[in-house]
Amino acid sequence: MASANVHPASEPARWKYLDSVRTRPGPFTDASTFNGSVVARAMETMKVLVIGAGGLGCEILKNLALSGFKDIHVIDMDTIDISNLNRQFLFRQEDVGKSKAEVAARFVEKRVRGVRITPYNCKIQDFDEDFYMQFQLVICGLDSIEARRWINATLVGLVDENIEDSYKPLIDGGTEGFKGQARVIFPTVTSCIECQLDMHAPRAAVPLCTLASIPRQPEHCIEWAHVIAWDQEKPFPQLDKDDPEHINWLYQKALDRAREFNIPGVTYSLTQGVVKNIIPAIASTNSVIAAACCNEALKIASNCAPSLGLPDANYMMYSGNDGIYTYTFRHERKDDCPVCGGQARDLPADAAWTLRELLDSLAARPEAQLRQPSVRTATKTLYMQLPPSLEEQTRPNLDKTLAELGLDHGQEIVVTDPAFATVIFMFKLKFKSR
Amino acid sequence: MYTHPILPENLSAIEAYAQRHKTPLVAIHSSGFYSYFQINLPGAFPIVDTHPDETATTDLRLLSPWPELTAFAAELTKDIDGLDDVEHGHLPYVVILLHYLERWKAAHDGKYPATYKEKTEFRKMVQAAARTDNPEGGEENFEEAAAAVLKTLVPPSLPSGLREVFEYKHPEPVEQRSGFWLIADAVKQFYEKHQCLPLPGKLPDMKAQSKVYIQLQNIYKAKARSDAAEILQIVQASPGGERVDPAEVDLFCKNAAFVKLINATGGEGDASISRADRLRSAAAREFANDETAALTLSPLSLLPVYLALQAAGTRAAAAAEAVNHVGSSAGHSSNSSSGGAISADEILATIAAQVPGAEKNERVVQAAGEVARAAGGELHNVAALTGGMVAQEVIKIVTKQYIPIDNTCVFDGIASRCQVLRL
Repeated sequence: MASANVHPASEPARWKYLDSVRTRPGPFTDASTFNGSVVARAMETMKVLVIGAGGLGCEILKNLALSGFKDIHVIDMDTIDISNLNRQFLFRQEDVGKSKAEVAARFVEKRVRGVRITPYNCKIQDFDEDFYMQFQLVICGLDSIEARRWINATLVGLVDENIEDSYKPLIDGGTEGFKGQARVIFPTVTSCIECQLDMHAPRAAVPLCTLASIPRQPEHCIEWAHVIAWDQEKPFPQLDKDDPEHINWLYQKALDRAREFNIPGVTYSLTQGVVKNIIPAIASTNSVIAAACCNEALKIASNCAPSLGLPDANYMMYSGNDGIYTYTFRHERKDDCPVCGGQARDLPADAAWTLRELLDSLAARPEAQLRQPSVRTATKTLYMQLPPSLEEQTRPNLDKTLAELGLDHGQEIVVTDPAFATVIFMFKLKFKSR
Repeated sequence: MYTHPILPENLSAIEAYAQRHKTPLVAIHSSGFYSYFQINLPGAFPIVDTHPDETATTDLRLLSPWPELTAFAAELTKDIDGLDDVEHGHLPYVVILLHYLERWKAAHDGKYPATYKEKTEFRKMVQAAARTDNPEGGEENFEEAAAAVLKTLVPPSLPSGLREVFEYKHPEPVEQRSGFWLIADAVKQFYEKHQCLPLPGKLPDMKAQSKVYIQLQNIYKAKARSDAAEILQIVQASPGGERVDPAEVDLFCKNAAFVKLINATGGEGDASISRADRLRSAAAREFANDETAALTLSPLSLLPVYLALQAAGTRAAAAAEAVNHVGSSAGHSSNSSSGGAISADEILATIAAQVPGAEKNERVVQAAGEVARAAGGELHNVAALTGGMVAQEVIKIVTKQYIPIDNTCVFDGIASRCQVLRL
């Protein structure tokens, strides 16, 4: 087995170790898909798209370049902030304010000879399907669930069963403190990010009445300053969460309120954390998760070993809090997934709810998480966010109950959201039995 | 920190240094899709600040309330049926549960609900007490109370991590013990006297009026403070106790249920078991588990990966040493990491010498084949991933926060998973 020949494409000495693994079969290699003589060349010409050039993105770009990929593209709309420098190691102090995608691309190109990295300093939504069609592999290092859902829906939408090249494997990494996950999605074949949405439940929102009249925790005081006091007093035209003056205003307001109710624990850094919803990022976790993602990329691109997704496990959960623990498992596709399923998904509701309450529940439910929903049935428009004229026309429906709107148990409704323009979410109302 | 393969003479120099200076050692080995790293700590390593999940830390003492808590709950509920809807709907769930526990006891010979069946009955009793004739058609605080029944109605017990600390047999005399061990002894005395641990004092958020919640929070805090003061007193009365920082006592009391001892058997009696014996018994245990893994739906052991890697490392180091001896006369310096192409058969032969019989295990044979394919070379991703995990563990050891691995972590980049083994 190990006597099989090594097949270097170029610079045999430089890629000696990589070539001995990727161009020779091992005991776990699937012989029906593996051809060692073409691997190195195929990886050099393969177009790989990286989404995000932040904590994970920096690691991913470096890892891909040192794994034999040579045509890498990267999208990031952000500019470099001083607080990024502790872990986003492709950036230096003099880069603050510049485009992350551009600086990261130049750094890796300079460091790893022969690699071409094409940066795009913009949003993923700025590109159309033709743009995404050119890639053979997509790797995400994002901190936003919304962007993940968007690229997932786009890649699932690209699939045309008559065109083999329309299946773009999607590798997604995410971290939070010492925890993270790496997953592989073969669009329409394995469970997609929308199928797995309930794995990322949004934090439970605190009821408004708690903020307004019975705060108990320092966070309640900060949220009060953020949601209520700011709106009432408008100390600045627009809240800028990165402006210390604004955060300080919220902190002082929260502190006053906390004193009024004898609640201890309001600090400046807690204020910043609550308002910006900061998830602490740790460099070592980024290293682990990005490397796990790129390891899958190498396996998918070379077939030299089975990757996640086919045929068994497609999801690796990682936790470094208590020792080191991974749980690698198979997340099943969902028939009622709005992106890759096709069946309407059950939506618990109540005939006595107003339409507004139904829409609020769409924002809060872990499996929906739709913040700007427009709703209709097959025959009737219930509420539209846009255009403004239609919004005004349908607004009175918000205060009508579902019963008044003629919606019954089992009724199918169609929901769209501008954040996921291409996706039609179908739900079937399930009224609580009384 | 050092990486395999390493020349035996270099390794013994490093180990001697670490032993002399009581320095933690980390050995790292990455080759192809496989890697492992191994942490060697100088003796037992206790951690207080383990950062358990928020939800796990709730300790409300509902089955052993102290007088102030009982009095507070009784006062708020003495006319529970006469309360208006706002007051009734804002009773903190702790108070609701304490009130109905008293009623339950009155109807059950003074006994608390103990079995699962009794607890679900008790939960029904709480649910039935919620008012439903209000505009909301229910009460959120009663829902919170019902949801908390199974989780919070647990009698005080001694968690296994702390039990291990209590039972640890010290190799060194009392006078030389660190603050941690002096506090642990004091907590043990406290536990033996009161049959419960010092109260952590944290109250989770719950539906309540601000003022009532803060009062209740202060009752928990006051009790926690008095428990910690009692422990501090015991500490200060013990030899060497006067130099212990009271803040350290506070932290221990808050985290007592989650205190953890790593590398515990490094203490007494463990030195007599050789590394080779430990590996053989780990192999017997892991291979036995694998026999039933399909039934228990548990993942297969990654010990074969470890065996294959370290066998290849041993071979490579020996080969490099031989080259070194021959080559030194020719002024030729060796590079141990390119000690390189070891065949699968050579790897299996080395394993057979260490763990007789393991070389016939099918998964060991596969792992040896995979290690042979790598020819001693690293893949960038696997090295980066392993380095990330090592950095994380070093952070935990240096800061004494969270829980480090005990003591070997094996990574399989083909299955994309890890296993921690004690080897």
